[in-house]
Amino acid sequence: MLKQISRQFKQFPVSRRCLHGSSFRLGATVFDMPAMSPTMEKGGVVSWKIKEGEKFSGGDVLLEVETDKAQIEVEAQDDGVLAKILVPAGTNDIPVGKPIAFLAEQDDDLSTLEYPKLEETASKKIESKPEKAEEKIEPPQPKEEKNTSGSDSGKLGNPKQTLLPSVELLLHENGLSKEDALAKIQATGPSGRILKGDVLAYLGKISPELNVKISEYINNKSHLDLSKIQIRETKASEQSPSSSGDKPAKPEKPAKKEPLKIEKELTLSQAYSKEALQRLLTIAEQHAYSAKLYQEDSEVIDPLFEEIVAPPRNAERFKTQFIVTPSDNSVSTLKLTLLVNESILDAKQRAQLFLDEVKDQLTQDNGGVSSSPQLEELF
Amino acid sequence: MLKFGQRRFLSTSRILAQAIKHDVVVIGGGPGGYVAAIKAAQLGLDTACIEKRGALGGTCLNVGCIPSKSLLNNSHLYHTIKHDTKERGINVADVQIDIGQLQNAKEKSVKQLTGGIEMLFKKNGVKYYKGSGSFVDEHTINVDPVEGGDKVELKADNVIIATGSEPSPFPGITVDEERIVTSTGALDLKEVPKRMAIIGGGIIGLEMASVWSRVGSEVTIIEYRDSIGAGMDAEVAKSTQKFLTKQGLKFKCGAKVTKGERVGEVVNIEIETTKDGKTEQFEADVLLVAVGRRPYTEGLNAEAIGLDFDNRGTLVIDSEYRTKHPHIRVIGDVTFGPMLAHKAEEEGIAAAEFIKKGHGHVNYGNIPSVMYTHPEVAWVGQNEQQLKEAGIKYKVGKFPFIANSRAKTNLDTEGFVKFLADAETQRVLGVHIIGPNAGEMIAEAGLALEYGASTEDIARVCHAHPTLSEAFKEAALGTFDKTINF
Ligand SMILES: Cc1cc2nc3c(=O)[nH]c(=O)nc-3n(C[C@H](O)[C@H](O)[C@H](O)COP(=O)(O)OP(=O)(O)OC[C@H]3O[C@@H](n4cnc5c(N)ncnc54)[C@H](O)[C@@H]3O)c2cc1C
Repeated sequence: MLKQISRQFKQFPVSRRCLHGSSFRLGATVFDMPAMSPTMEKGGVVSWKIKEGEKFSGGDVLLEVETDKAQIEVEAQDDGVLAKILVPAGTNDIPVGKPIAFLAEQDDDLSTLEYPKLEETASKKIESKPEKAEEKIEPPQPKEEKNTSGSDSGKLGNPKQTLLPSVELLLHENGLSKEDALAKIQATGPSGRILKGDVLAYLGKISPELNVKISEYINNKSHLDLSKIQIRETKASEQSPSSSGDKPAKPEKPAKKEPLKIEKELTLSQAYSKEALQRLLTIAEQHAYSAKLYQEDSEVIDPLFEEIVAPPRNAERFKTQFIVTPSDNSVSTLKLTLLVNESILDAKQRAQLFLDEVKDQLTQDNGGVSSSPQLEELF
Repeated sequence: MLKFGQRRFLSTSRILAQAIKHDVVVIGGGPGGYVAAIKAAQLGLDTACIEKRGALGGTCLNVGCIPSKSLLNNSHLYHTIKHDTKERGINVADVQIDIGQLQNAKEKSVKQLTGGIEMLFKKNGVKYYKGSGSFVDEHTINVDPVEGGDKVELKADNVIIATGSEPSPFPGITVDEERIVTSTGALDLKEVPKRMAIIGGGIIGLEMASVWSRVGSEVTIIEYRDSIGAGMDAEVAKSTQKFLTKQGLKFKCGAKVTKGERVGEVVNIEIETTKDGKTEQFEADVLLVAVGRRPYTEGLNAEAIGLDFDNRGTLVIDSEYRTKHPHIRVIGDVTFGPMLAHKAEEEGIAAAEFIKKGHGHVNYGNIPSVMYTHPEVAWVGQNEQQLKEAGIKYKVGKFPFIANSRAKTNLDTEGFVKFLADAETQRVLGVHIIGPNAGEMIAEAGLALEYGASTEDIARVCHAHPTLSEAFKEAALGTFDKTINF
């Protein structure tokens, strides 16, 4: 199983956040199913390493949690007592954020300790059916159990949130309580926060699609865009000197110094004079040399920088030769051979642009050009 | 412990016998590296940090953010005292600038701060190796010592590369850090150049331009693009240029430098307009090349262990900062993303957390940028150009400082706060501020973005009166309702 292959043990500290910073003694704190990764939605309790009523100190492993990716030890950051286990070992598919135990301070008296009230339906469900992995346990939802609004793509709000002032006001104006909002409104904000737009969408004042779209746009921006990376090729010579000369088949990595040769055959369905072809190739070449090789709109790319690091514009990237062979009566073939000077960083890219442009030009001219399929694979 | 003589004797045999092992070795002690090291140590990992500069803090503390802000603040004070006291009812006679002392004050701040990091290393148990780190293999790093360091070989379960960046060279122009300088030389000038030319109208160029112009230099900025301020909202960039022009800076936009040559004690510069190719020659006493920075990996020997670079020399990572060898991660200026100290720091924390806990988080949609000129310019989130391109319908809310009571009493009223909010939901998409204290004020925008707040949420928060932050609140209000004071 996947689990076993990627089984790894990582430490994951837990702090009793709720007690920090407050000087007066509270009752037990709720210990929720921790999120081991940003994508983790649920996990299983493999085993408890501390027994109920047992003390632990910061750094002790409290339990072992299992996700679809790994098995992880959850470590306590502070000292404390495991007052009560809510989710026994062996329970699977526990949603992140669901209470799994009560923790207390080491000197708390467990017999008189006050336990905060949990959402009954939620915790009972787990306790009564610990083995049933298939059953989907929904996150704690006040009042209504099921999300009846039909769109199951969205998520309900995180019940622990403090409502934003705009949300509170809008709910009040429309006769909705916080509980209503948490039970009914799809939350698109960070960590299940209900936003003003979510309430407006719920009330039908704006389109729900627009509301989802804007949150997707923002979520998208929260990651580094690593999709446009152009890996710098290491020169063949410094890669593996021992294996020299055994793979001449790969045109991308020729032996040192020899220019890369790219050949391409294009079928011409129309007669061209030599001059016309020459003109077309010149246009394509101009296009290939002047094209910008970077995306101007990207945040990580500075056009000025690109211009500065780019090789001189006029340096020769490739030499072109062409032959036209009449292969049969109606169609003739244009055979292009490019000798690419790979010592110029962008030469291959520009050569490719050139070939694409030639193909485009021919297509525009006669509405149909086909390139020979075997050679196509080279590019 | 061992005495110096004994230690040197022993260290040679130790290299042959064994290497020192650490859970995490961080290469580079800049904002990315030192923060990653401290965090990793706090998470209970045996951590070491290698730095070759002789001082911790990297570019930022030694030749970047910190020294530039020292010069900016003190030159601004000088300029204010010299030109802006009479109408405030303060008579000052004979104001002099002492460049030597200006530089001393800067050095002092830098020393205190870099020394502070060394203390933090001690406090958190980070082992500090003074030297240059280079890979022997994926798990072994050789430390070539600088003064006060030892030659050692380290074995690491995890490596964090944070080797930073260096100024991009300009083809055909040779930097001597005396007459033709990078930002490093520009921070260290011993006298005020009569004429200063700056290639690049980005943040670093404009900050240095402000410093030297305030103390008397005649500054010309040459910018390749049609407007200054890379990454700024276009409207903000335009206002910035207007304000800086009023302060006496000269701009040549849409111009390309074709020559920059030192002849004796002057630099001959030739530019060409990008539109019509017209050339123009002029002279300067100092030429600053500030055309951006590039990733720095010299001596790291990263190629030898097969790490990937992109075309611009950036070390390639995945979304968890991992390279081809998953135990080697890369953060800060040497990899992708904006080259900012706080971005490097956030990544340092995230990288340490990935190692220890398997997850970490940096919100790249919420990284503020600040330019510390006067007025300051600060922004976070999306700008108008980006929203238009993405086809997002947005509303603009703007409030000028001229209508803000605190700005008015301070006699410092240039600029405005500009909100960009989603047209339907009023969710905050971007905030752009030009004005006094913009750099401090932008933090409130960051908080709003992080929580997915709408402009109404900001407008409904009570802001103290009279403060500049009221302008922030009013601008938010302006996206969905009428502003009160304008
Ligand atoms: C003039 C100027 C002003 C700036 N102002 C600001 C500002 O106001 N705000 C802001 O956010 N950013 C500012 N920056 C940018 C900021 O300095 C950088 O983004 C930040 O320093 C990046 O941090 P880093 O840790 O990635 O790299 P760096 O700070 O560059 O640190 C890398 C360190 O690694 C060391 N190193 C490299 N290779 C090795 C090796 N092989 N072995 C050992 N050590 C090695 C280097 O000596 C260096 O000290 C400014 C930059 C400049 C130049």
